Amino acid sequence: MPFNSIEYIIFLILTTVGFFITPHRVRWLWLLAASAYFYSRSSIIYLGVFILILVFNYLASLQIAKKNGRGKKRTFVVTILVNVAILAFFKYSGAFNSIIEDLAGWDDSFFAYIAFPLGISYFVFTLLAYLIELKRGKIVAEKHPGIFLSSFMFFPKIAQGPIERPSNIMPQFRERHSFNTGRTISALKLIIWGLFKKLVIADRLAIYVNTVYNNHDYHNGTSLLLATIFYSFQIYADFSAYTDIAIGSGRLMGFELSKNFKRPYFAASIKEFWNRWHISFSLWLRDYLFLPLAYWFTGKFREVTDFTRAIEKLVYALAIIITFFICGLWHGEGLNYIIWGLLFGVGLTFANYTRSLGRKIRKKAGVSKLSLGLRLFNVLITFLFVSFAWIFFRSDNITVAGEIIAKVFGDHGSLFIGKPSDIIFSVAGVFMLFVIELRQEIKTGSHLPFESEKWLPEQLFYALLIVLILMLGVFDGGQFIYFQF
Amino acid sequence: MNSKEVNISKSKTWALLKRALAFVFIVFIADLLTGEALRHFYFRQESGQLYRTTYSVDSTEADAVIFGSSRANHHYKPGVLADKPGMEVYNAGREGNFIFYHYGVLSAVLERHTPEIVILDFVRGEFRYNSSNYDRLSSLLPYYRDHPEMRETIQLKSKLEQLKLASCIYPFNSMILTVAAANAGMYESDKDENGYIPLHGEWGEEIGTGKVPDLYDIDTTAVETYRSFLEDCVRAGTEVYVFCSPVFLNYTYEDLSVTMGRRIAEELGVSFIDLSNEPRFLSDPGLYWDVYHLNDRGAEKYSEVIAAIISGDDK
Repeated sequence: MPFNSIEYIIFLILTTVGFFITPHRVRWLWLLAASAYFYSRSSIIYLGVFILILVFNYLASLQIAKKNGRGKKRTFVVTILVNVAILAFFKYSGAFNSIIEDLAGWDDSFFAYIAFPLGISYFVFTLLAYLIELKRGKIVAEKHPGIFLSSFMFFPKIAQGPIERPSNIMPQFRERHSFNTGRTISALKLIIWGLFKKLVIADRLAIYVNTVYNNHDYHNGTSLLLATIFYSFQIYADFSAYTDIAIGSGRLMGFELSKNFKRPYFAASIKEFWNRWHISFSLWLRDYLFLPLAYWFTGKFREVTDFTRAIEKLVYALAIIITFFICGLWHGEGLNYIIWGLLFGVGLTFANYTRSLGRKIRKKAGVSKLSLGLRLFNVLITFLFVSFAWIFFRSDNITVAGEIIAKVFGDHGSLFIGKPSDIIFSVAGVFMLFVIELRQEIKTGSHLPFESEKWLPEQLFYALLIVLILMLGVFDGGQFIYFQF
Repeated sequence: MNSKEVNISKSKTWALLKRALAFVFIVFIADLLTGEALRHFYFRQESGQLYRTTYSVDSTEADAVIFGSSRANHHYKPGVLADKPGMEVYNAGREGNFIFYHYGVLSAVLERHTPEIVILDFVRGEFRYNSSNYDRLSSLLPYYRDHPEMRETIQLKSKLEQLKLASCIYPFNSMILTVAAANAGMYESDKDENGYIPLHGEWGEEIGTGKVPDLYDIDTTAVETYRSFLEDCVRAGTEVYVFCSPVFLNYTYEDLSVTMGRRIAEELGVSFIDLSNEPRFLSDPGLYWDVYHLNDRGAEKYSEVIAAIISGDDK
């Protein structure tokens, strides 16, 4: 049940109404039933698999909480390994099938019949965060099986995140949520904005991007370049739209999910980009992968606070490259995803090593660190770097990515237009997104697209968004991009 | 909570409720005004693809009407097919559309007029399941309100299509620029000949071999719609012909959809004639615009063949 469907809107209204008329003590049951229904629309078999995984983790987490010393550690490690194995089993079944085909010559091994369960990567990463926090003693184990199940199955976040911290989401399932008009309005605004970004911007851009990328052999570098730039905006509009609808859906019932995006294309460096892009995932990687790795490498667990000395730069480089390697692998089994991840790892390492050189150049040129021109230049460079990396992400495989890059850098000609209205709507959508986000960036800082002290302009703005959705939205655009991860 | 707090809370809720109602009202008015404006300009078009659909649905009283996708639109020349003086032929083929669209338009035509002859151009893989075939029904959304006979077909687009159609704007989704361009007269230069659009230019390559497709899923709704198309024509007393028009490929296999289409036609006593590999059209690439489309010269020759078949001169 995609968020951009009428079916979901009806489901959300019924779930919200049902939530508020259900007594507080059994609301978890209502949410669990709604979430189970939501997930069953994707696959009833995998709903059963998810519940089994949760039962296993629930029992294991109680054991981790109960035990001490080596027993605790052993249970923790085994539970983590089982979860990672489950993720790998579903996520890389295609790769396992290829290996078996190469080794044994069977092209239809057991793995060939494994379909990818919706949201498995997000689901397992949220579970891992819970187990790690539990092991670190930062949270206590949730003993109520109903709250445990419903918080992990919570439908707004199960398919595509945000990857919630247990310390944020679980307590909210114990709180008493009453209907709040202001919060409901804010939630609805976010949902309208999310639908606008998905239907009017992302799915419109997808028409050109898919036409060009899916037939890259027939297109020149100019068209591929435009398709790549469009893809940068498409994936952002698509993913951030999902998050906005997820946050809005949770907020309708009084749940606050984590923010996942903060205008990433206004970032002036790769580091800043990752602080603004898929934030819940970046923080997960930082807290549960990068920092433990860095501490492990330095052998200075908890003592190291910066990485300015040479040895620590090396440690930083190693930890960051491993982290982004896993970031790429998390997205998919293809080498193109690994290259995509490594590009960011190498880029961040390069930036770290050349920081003092940059400072010297800036000094020599007499350019202030705070200069607007320098900031704009850095924003542009970062955007181009990220867009270049998206080529690997969007391409079917590494060979295709190589062919596209070769064309972008050397084979130019007349631009493929296709249906002119698609280009016009796409450019208009990106322009509108840019203007709204620029205003947010330099003026309001708000997550909502428009806020005003006066209610009429605000009402008119959101009414305009609805009119534009009806008039220009692509209603047959299909699923969100990140559902495949 | 004391009584003062209760009063403040009540007045706040009341104010917010009023704003919510105002918002719904603003959206309703904006939707109504914009939708009606789009409707007005949509039906004011006098040229272009959208206009041709409107003409097919609302106006054509031709003796023979041709249905099909782009291949129908570019292959059947009304001037050649009109074999007797005063006979009018209209080509209602539209690019990128399939049996659902054809049946929707046919329903509207039969509602007000009974053509003597209906020709359906059938393509290989016509019954292959493809969700985008249903999406294409958006071409018929503008007619939903005034054509009850088309509604059942249009509702195939999606389960909750009726709900979306409560909006006045939605039927004209993504059409604003095309409608504006047509109203500004930008399509006046690409004149059609009773719906037929000629393709100019020649395919320069030698004939290839049609790739045997993988087994595909049959769309049973498409099959049923095709059957209804033929049945409705037969019931109305219209003579129906189903043709598979030429393709510049050597086919070495029988397509599953063609087999099914022929069988259904035979059951209903309808002529089903597969000319996709007709030798007269396989030797000259100069008759083609691309592998799947005849150019104007090819259409002329093909329409002569069709006219001869219909008049009984070509057995």
